[in-house]
Amino acid sequence: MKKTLYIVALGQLLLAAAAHADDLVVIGNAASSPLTKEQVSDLYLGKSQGMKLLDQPAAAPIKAAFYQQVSGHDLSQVKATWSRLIFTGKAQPPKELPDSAAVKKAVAADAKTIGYVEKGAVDGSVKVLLDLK
Amino acid sequence: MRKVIAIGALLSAMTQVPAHAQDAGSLLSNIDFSLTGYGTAGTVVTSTDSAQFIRGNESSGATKSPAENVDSNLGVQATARFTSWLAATAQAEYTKDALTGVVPWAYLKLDPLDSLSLKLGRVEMPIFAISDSLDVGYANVWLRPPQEVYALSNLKELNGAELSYSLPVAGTHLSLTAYAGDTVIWTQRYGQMNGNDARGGELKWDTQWVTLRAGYAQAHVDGNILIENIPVGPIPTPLGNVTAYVPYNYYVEDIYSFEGFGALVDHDNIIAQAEWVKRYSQNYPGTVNATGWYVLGGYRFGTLAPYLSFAKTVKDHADGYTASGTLSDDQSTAAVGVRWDAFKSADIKFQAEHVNPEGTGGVSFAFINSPLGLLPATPSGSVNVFSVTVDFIF
Repeated sequence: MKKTLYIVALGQLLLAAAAHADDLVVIGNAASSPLTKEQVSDLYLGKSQGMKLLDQPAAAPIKAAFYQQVSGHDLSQVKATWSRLIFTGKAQPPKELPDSAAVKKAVAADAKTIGYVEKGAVDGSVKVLLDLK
Repeated sequence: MRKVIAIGALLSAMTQVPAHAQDAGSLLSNIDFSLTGYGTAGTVVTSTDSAQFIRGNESSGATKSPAENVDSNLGVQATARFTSWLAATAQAEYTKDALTGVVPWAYLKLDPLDSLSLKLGRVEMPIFAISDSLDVGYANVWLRPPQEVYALSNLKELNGAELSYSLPVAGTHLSLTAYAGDTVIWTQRYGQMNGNDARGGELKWDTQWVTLRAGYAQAHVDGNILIENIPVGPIPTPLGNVTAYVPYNYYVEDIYSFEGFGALVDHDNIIAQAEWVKRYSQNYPGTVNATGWYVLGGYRFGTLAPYLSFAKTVKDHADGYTASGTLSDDQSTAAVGVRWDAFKSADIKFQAEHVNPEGTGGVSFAFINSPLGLLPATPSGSVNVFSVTVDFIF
């Protein structure tokens, strides 16, 4: 058990380190209004609808860091939550795109879309709706 | 099945509507189609051969000989999203007990507003806090829902309409769901009955880490059911005296109702769940009326989530109660289990339970065939149950 705790602690340290190395931001179309952390968490855990959500690949460290920072949930929890929503047809899961560049491109093209990328990746084509420091 | 075909026809009709304006090809290519699935593979063994341990309305289950049918299932779901406000979902589930498979969901969903949705077709009634994803093992912490609560409902799928409205309240979500239609009542004791004019509602309040809900459902139930086989005899025959059994069928008509309250907490690593439900009958309270509740607490250590639960159901023993005629009886279960998110899209669960049917047939044991018809099996004392499952999604 102690070993598991060490591993968990190490994992959290690594996540924290990864997040520090590159802060995350939630981005939207230029016409979108800013969002709170709670709003983003509700959207990405399927508690509220109304935006087209974009996701990063499961293997990308940014994905785990994003969900941890926004909701405190790890990826298996997120997956269990979404399996509940998907298999009742309640909500559509976020659409997975290959990388931050693809997320940016999709957000710039559709006013109803939001995504998350590294802060350093932001440019004039998108608007920062929430800065996750 | 007829309904599914009808929905299919309706869908193809709808895709045809704007087709004359442009070409159907570009419209079809805009349909966002997804195929997903879930399943559980598991085995259960108990400490007794005196009764078979089951889940829900299964006709057979586990004894000292392990049984795989108790928790195992496989579901496939297809969803087609036509526009931002129109989607269709159909799901088929296979379990060993349902020989032809079942269709828990097959509906068209219209979202005229972000906060409003209308489902037309077949939906699962929100009887409990976790009615909708009850069969999706991967979606839940427990290995199996506490039967003292979840086996009490005989209302499940609704053929009709469900309207849901969600209202943001100071950073939280309040949602109201109302539904109406027809259903089929399935009880292990009396088989199948019609459930017409089913209707109900659910009020739900969701915050970042807590969900509170209250629900009510009712249905007009009727059907010709076999109460029991009545022994006639002894009749003298050339082969000696024999006893004949004459089926005693009876037409029953009733109003079933169901109410429930629940609280779900998921905060940091703490998981807590509690529900209280009550099943009522207008005309046969001694057969139907029962109360059930459970509490569950768990904690996440990384990929491991151990949990403890206690559940109890109390049968209303007044007003015409008979041990052989009741839909379910008294029982309590203390359980300890663990969910291990061992793989990317699969978990492994283990659960050990101490089931006390308090000298009755309880709720977790299969009825047995006798010359008199189906009768409750009464385990000799408490029963220990050990289960292991693998839940997966794809």
